[in-house]
Amino acid sequence: MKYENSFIPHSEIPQYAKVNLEPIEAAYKKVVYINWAIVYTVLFTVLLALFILIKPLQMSWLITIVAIVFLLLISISIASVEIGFKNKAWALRDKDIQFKKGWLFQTTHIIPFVKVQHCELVSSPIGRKYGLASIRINTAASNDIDISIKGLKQETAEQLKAFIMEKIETYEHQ
Amino acid sequence: MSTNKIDWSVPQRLSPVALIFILGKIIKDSWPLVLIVVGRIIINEQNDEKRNTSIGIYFILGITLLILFIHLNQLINFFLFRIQIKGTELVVTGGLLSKSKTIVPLNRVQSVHLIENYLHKLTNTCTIKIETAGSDATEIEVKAINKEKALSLQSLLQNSVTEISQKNIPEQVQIMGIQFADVIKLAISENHVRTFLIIIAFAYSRLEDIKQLIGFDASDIIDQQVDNASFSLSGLLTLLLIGLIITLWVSFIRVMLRYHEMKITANNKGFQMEWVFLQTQQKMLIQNKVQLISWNFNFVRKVLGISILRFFMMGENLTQTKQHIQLPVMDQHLLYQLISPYQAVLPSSNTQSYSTHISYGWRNTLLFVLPIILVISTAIYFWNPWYILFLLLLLIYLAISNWVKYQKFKYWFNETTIQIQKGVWGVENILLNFNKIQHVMVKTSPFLRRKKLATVELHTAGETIVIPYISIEQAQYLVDLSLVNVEFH
Repeated sequence: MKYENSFIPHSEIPQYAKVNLEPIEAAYKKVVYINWAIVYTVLFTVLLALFILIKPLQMSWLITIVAIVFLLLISISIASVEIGFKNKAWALRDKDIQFKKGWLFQTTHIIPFVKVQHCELVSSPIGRKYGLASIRINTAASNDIDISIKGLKQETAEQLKAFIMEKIETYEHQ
Repeated sequence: MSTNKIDWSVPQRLSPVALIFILGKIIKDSWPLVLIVVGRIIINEQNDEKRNTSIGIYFILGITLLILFIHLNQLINFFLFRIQIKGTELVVTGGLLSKSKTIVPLNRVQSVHLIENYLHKLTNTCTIKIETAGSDATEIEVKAINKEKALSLQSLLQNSVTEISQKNIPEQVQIMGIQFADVIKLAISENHVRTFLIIIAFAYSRLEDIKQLIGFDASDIIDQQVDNASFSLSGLLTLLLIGLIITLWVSFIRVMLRYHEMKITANNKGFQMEWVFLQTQQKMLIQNKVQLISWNFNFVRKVLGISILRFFMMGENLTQTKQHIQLPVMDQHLLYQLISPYQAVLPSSNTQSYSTHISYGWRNTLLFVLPIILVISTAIYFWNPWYILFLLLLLIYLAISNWVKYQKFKYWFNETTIQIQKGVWGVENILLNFNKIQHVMVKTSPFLRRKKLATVELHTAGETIVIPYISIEQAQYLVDLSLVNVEFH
């Protein structure tokens, strides 16, 4: 039996890195800020209640430290949204979809359509207010990983979902 | 044994033996609570305490009754359970209050395991576990079914649905058998440090159970005895020797349970594995369901020529070790015979090897290990400064481990397959055909971007393969090559 092991030059195969990625909707930034605002409001309320109700906690040095940590968390959240937002982008190719996200730690996902098992459209109440939605993609290996493209226009998300579902059906019939 | 006498289009029921297993499970789930209640009552009576049953005992009795009520559903399900093949689907129905119907396309079955314990053997029955793609847990489990039916179903599933005649039964050839001498070799080469830690953890957990049962802390007694003991060199050596003997015995028992009389037979569909100790298990391995393969050995096993081969199947739960298909291979020729249906040519045999960036060897130590140890050392310093020596030793050990991990990490790839070799004190090889990849991730951090490096994660339905700290160009090439295999073949 003859085994071949021909070298395939990189230039001869499609390169994911050369694809122009499309940024997500700018309005999504507002959605993210609103979500964070809700989280921090709840956290602030809880901390306030703890400091008021539990007398042993009413120490100035402890309150100062907690306040500093709280402000630091808010600053990091703002920085991650502002800096990370411009890294969120996606692109559609004939045989796969890719998207990029992350602030300091950036991740690029590429999912071939032939491996997609299911695709669903997700929208939160705040996202719906701004006409935005997300696409969540499931493969056989996606149990613990969030493969979702957030911050798309509702119509774009619906079109994308329909496109992916069509691809899934095409591959199932092949 | 004829496998085509059973008509699987007719719904089949569980064997009456399943009732015994259900009752056994009820007792098994309830006995610690019953024992605690009984133990408490007895101790209270012996201590001449006021005979009023505590609220705690009522609570535990209530929980026990709840467990019995929950298992009532299983008893009902025994009478309503049916399994059959309808066309190209396996259909399982059951339940009274909440009816369940599981439909599995036959071509999604990835493996069928048969398990027999002593009761099964006495009654000519066995348990079937059918695993399918896309699921973490066993999809269908049939507790006790007539053995002829089980073998018939296993054979049908292995041949993907159609009824088989005697002429079409694939020829089975035994390719491996584990003898007692092999079991000894495996026991000697087992990871005894891990076994020792398992024994310590088990012993500690039993101390907690004893405390709950009898009401006082057995560990206090042990501490008292240790304080009173006078330690000499001979005493310590004796203790170490006893610990070593116990560890070796436990290793031996674990190996026996796992591998005793293991046999592998091959046909054109895949492999069938069977092993016997307290119970007989049969696992079917269908080749096209294998996601990736790994084989590993430690230093002793390398000398003895033993590898532990593991097949990662689609939908496997990595934490459920009983589901894993893992077998010892006693010679290299057999190893390649078992691997070759998945990939005939190893990339390491005819392609260039690549390594990770040197920063992989020290970065984890610098960023995670060192800061954590510094923090703990600062805390320990105020308690007992001498204990910092242990932390220093731990730091040295982890630093060396990370460096060895970097040194040993290598990978090779060709147009269809990637092979990775890694390990610290042992060696593990991983073989992945690119067309098994489900999706790909490329990760960078500020440091990696500065050095023009990236980490690639190849996700399969079996496991995720990580190739850390490689050049960004190489990372992109690997990703593009794997996508070509998935999308165009």
